[in-house]
Amino acid sequence: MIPSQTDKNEYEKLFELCSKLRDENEQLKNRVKQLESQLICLHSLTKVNSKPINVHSDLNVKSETTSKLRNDNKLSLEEYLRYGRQLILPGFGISGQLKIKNKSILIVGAGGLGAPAAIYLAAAGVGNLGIIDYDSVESSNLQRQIIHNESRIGLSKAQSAKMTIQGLNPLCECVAYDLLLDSSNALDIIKKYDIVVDATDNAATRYLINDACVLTGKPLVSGSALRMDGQLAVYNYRGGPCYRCIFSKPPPPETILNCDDGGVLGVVTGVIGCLQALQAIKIAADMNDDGISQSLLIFSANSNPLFRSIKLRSKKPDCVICSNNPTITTLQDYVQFCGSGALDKSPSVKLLGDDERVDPKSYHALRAKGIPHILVDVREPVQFDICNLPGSLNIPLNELSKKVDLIQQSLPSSVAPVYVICRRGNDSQLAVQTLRKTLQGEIKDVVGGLYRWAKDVDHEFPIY
Amino acid sequence: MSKEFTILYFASARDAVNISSEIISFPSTSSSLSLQDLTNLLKNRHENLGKVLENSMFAINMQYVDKDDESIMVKPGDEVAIIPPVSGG
Repeated sequence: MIPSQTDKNEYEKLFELCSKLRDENEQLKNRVKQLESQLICLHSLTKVNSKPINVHSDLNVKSETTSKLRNDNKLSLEEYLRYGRQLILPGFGISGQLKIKNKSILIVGAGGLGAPAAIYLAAAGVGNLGIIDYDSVESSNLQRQIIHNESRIGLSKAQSAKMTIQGLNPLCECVAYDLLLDSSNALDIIKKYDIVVDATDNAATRYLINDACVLTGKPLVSGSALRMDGQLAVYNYRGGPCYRCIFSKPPPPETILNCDDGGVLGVVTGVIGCLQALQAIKIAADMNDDGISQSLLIFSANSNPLFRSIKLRSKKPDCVICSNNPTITTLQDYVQFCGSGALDKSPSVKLLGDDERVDPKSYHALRAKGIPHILVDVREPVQFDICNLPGSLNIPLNELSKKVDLIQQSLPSSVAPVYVICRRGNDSQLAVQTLRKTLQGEIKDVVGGLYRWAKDVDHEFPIY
Repeated sequence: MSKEFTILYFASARDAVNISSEIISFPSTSSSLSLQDLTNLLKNRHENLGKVLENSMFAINMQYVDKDDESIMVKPGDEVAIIPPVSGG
């Protein structure tokens, strides 16, 4: 088989990455050697004990003793130096530092929100961080998930986040959970931590985390972001409301966009993630902030003012979970409750029969033969501008029913077929159903959309 | 006193109506609106807003209001924020 240009590019990219990682590995090995010789030197000077030093096992012993240092009421000399800039802050000081050192914070999600939150919490000296994520790092994450990097593509997000944290602050103990938080494991994990940071990307997990925090009595620092908007609130803290007190009904699945489909500016998740770290530190350090438990901060990157703060209610007296007479006392089936799952990938839907669809290769053949037809691209104009197939007519799905006459006018003949395409092959099926209500003749969608077109037909066509 | 109130749309509510705010006059017969009347009025103004409204939080003058509380009225000069939950991250 002749390698395609894409294969060659892929080969070069991987080759470059391997040599970069090899270099990095070499540098790290040198650094370890350097540190080991310093260690041996110090050992012989201080004569800590008479047994000969074994660098590796002694290092392991060291890490065990670190974990025993928790609940310590002292800082080490290294910690004074490292945290000096915040130790001199009135209102935080050494008592704040000791408090956050002895606290454990669980971050659910190592994505756009979790990345900056974890980085700032680790840097500030939170003693123990747990990070949960079931996903692995992809190139399209790096625009906002700044805890990961190019060389971590393919690696588990939780592990990658832990690696960054260990490199940033070895005094912070980090546990990586490569798993999907669900009703079977949430309580066991959450009860081990003092504070929970919700940095997830879907409604089902938001309700799960809320309920688990109420049932275990943990404060919940909730953040969310999409497109140019973000929200921040602390729930279940100091008599304040829980997430269900404010949003009792989950949004219908068809109205929810995820970052994959709706898009998000990286810095918008960054702003909210940083603010989540701030609130978590304030709770961990018992800092004074009267409004913390009863306000919702709204961030709109495109508006003036950028931030608005809404005063929330106190606990809802008849809240199903956090009131004095709750009707929910155990974790539920949240996928069923929300009508959508925890996976931030758009599931592929199948609304049409095989005879109503055409696969990209067959459609390509049909184009090559010059068979008269019209191709309707139902993506939003902003996506159509990124890339499109020559000759296609852009009518966004939500305008389709009003613009059927535009399709009729553009048809090369009254019997010519209509093909519909979108990004991944979901909206195009809805579009076919919409068009069938008013148009006669052959109407088909292109299976898998432009994504499959790029995979199966044109390797030079952009995937975004 | 003006017989108007302001609506602020956030996140998916703003996407549904394509504006971030608007000033609305009270119906000629009244100078206050219950939240149920407000919901109906907004649904009639914007056909895409219905589903979003059901799951949104309302705030009057930056303070949360309980949508089920029939005693709460929107008055002239009020600023009502429509705040749907954002789930992404």
